[in-house]
Amino acid sequence: MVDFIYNGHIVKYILAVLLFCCSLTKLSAQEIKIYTWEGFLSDDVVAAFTKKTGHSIKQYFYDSEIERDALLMNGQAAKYDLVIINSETTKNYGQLNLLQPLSSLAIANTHYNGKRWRDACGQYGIPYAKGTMGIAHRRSVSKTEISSWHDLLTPPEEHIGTTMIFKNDIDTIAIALLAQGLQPFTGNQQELKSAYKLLQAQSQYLMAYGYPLTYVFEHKQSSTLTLAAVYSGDLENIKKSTGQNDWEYIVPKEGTLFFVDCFAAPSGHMVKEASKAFLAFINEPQVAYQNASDSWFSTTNEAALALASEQYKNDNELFPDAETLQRSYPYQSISTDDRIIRNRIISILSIAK
Amino acid sequence: MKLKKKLKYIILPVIIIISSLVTFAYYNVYKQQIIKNKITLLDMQLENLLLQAEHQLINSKTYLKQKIDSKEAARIFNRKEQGEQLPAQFVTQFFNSFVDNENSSDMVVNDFVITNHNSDLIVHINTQDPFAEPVLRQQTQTILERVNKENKRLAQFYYFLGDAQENVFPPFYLIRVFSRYQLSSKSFYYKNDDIYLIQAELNFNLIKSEMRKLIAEHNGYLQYKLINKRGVSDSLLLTRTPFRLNDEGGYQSKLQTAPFDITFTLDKSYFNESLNLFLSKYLLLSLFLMLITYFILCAIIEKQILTPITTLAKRIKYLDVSPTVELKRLQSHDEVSDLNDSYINFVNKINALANNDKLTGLANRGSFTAQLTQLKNAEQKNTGYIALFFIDLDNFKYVNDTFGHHTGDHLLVVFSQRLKKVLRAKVRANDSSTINSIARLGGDEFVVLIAGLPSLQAIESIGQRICDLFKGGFSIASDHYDVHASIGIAYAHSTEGSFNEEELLNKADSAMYAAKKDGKNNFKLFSSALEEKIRREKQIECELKKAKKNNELFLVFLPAYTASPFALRGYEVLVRCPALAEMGIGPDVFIPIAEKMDLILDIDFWVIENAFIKQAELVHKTAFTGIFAINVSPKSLRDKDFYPCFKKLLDKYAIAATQISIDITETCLLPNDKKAIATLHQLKALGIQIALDDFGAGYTSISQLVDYPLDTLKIARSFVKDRQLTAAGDKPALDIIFELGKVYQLDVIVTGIETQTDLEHAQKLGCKILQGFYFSKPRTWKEVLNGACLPPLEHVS
Repeated sequence: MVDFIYNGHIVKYILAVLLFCCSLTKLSAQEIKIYTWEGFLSDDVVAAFTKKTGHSIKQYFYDSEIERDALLMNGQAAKYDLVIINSETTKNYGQLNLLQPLSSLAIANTHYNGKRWRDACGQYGIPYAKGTMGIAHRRSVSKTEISSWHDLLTPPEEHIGTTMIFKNDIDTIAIALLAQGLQPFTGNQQELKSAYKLLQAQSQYLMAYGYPLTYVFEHKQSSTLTLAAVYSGDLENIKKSTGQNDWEYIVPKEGTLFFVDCFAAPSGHMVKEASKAFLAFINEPQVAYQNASDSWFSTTNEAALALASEQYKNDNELFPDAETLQRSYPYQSISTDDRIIRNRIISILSIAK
Repeated sequence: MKLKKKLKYIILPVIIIISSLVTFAYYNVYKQQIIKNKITLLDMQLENLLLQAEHQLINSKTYLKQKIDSKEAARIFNRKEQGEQLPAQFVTQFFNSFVDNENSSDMVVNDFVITNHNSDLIVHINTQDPFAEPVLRQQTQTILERVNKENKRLAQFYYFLGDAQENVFPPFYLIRVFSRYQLSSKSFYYKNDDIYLIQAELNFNLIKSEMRKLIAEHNGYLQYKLINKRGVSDSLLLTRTPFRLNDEGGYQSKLQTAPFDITFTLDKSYFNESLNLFLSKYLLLSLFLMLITYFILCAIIEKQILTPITTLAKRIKYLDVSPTVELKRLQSHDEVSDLNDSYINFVNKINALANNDKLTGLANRGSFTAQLTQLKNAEQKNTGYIALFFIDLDNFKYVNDTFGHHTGDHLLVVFSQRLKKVLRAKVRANDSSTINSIARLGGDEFVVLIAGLPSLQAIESIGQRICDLFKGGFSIASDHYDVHASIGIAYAHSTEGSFNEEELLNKADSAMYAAKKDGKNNFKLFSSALEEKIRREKQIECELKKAKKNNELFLVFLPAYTASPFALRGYEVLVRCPALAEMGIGPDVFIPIAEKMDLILDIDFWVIENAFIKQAELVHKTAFTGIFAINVSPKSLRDKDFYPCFKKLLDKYAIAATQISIDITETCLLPNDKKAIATLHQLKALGIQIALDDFGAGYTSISQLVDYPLDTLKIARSFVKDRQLTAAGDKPALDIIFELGKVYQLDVIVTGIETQTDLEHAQKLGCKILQGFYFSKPRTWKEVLNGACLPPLEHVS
């Protein structure tokens, strides 16, 4: 190699080849549009991917799953190459042909994901993250212990007006059901009505319905949020964004939902090569770990865990203990009518606010 | 009643009446206007409400069209037509398209049911209650029956009202008929068109809340009555009658549509509250304005009219009381200033009449006295001397008598003018001095008051200048009059403090008499010698008054004798004052002073009465037949009461008139003294003898003697003394006078015979009556009674 370098002819030859390669790379470079939660993808990883492949990543953020689902339903999602969707919705939307099957594309490195998570995402999704739903609150503000979903539904005085809850047909209603010790995926009208009432009563104490991360990313240091429903891993982003280090994540005693988020590709066009390259890249164990560690979520990539630091692995928020997991419900599919009802509830609640 | 009080009583009722009328009129106008405004406003509000409703209806129709044309709806229709089950996402996305609004108030429909013509539910949306069940209303079913059973064509829209719960406006339903196989703008549809039907309960919350607001803001006075006709209509033509007065006195407006009517009624008592409130406020304001107007009017009238009038009235009232109050001419040109100025003119005229001498235009006595007092009381004292010039024209009577009063008056006028001119010229030469008054006191007496004179020389210079006017007499044009001035000047210096005005005038008067004594055309300053003289006269006057009061006066009797045979003829009664006698003052001194001081009449009557008493006693005791000669002052004779009183006393004491002789002193006689002469004639008529005492001492011309009804001349003692000084060969004056008396057939009494020679001379002259200390000094009454006055034996021979 050294010899080649010092040989002028050879150098010229190599330079010509490199120039050709570069121009070739440029010609095939693509932009990958990803529709996702904010703060769910490491900037460094994106930069490394672009550096490695020449493809660029453009992220579009959604605030609620309802918003995302509306987009997927009316066909607008075809503008995106990849979308982060929870495992249950991935399955549903896949059945409605709104998503393209990804398992058949044989994307490299995806096998590093645990089987349990691959099954959850099914043929239309590549597992990405997993976690629990819980309550985040500022220790310095809370005067009483926050340990129950009731603390979120009927916030203590110090959190009135500074509390947020998701605008999510499954998760939000699940919180109200869990609080009452009911099955989070129940189809019982009376139980749903009681959840609706609870949420109606909560409405007056809320600052807003929505995703707390979106709020803190917007308001940063001026954020007045003190209590919110969050997903595990959100805490780090909240702290970073607000500069408030007294945030604490708890899984309420009544139990919670255990989610798996998957990468899915909306139907309407072929999955881009660049998208495949990205999915392969993101599933490289080292990359997967860096990404999960930067964005502070619990990765589904088991090979990545082998590379993980002790701090990451021992984090209670990302990796709940067995007792917490015991109290957690995995997502289940629910009937059409139940889903319609849930959607109506959350929509009517949010427009009334 | 004072003008101010009267004004208050007049203004208040006028204001009250006017305000009440204005209030009444304004209230009525206001009431009509309030009602009109309210009705207009209500009409506008209802019209606005209707427009909003119409607008919302149009919006709702457009909204429904959008919904049925949407992708979400198409997806649902497709699935349904294929007989497949609807995935939840299809319904939720369609639902979300209904609720995906910024806020709930924009919500167009509350409930939305789509069925096909077979009443199969396609989709149900309820934006209010997540658990609501789809219900097809009876009216909707009627429409469906029309197309199914009667095969009637259906219009695009139908409208009906739902059932109302109590106190709640019933829901408004819109039925939209459409077909996926026809244009959505088609007017009519048939069963064959595979029609769909939307039963939409429209959200009229905004309009309802507007209506509730309208109702609420009228506090129950505005009511509406809704009549649900319960029918379904394909037209919603809204007509409304504006608010009109109804039979109950309220105002009513009716809104009519095919499916329902709404009647709005505004209660007649609605306006009462606001009008009463207005009336009470207005009355309060009116009262306030009334009071303000009243006070302002009172204040203005008082300031502009009453105060000038009362000030004027006060000034006029206190004009005499306070010297500081002064009437000034007013600058304003109104009736008050006219009145003020007219009054000033009037007062000036009156003052001129009251204060000025009519003839000369100079100040009169009253004005002069006031000026003198004012000068005395002046706050700002003058520096230097205040001088009072008392001018008396000598021989003026002569001008009057000789040339007539007209000339006399003219002389006074000319003198006044010249006096003013001279004084002004003198004063002008001396800046510090001021002429305070030039006055004519009466007759030929003038006074001049000048303040601020720097020296006595200045005073004398003025006195001299006045005298100079009479240098060589007083000339007017070519006429020349032998008139001169005697000027007495009294003065006071500012450093001596206040002066006594009466004293000053008396001093000037005294000085004038002193000047007169010193000769004609002369001036004299009042001096300490003069003052001493006056003091002495005052003392004499006092003593006289005291003696008279205490009855200390007494009579002495100087015997008079007939020459042949030498016998007692009678007595000359002489009055004596013991207190004055002790001071060496005899009647020769005190009688003229008594005359000057107006005491003489009293003294004369005292002497007369006491002489009569003594005479009666003497007649009674001694059968006296002689004469009592009583001295009477011509001044007493001039008194109109003299004769009656004298006669009364004569009768009282039964005195024979023939035994009385009244002696008058020649020096006291005035030429042509008509009053005295008249009295003398009366006395003479009684039989009383009249004698002229001290004849020759005065200036009575012999020719004047004829005017007097004289019986006797008493030749003055001086002539008897002077006889001895007469050069040898010359005829003594005594002799001449004696002869003169004889010519006029008068008895002549030679008084003052003190020596044998005097007696012999008198006897030689043939004098029949003799009197003098040679025979006897005046005798006391006791001596008279004892016969001490009988003629001495040596003379009887």
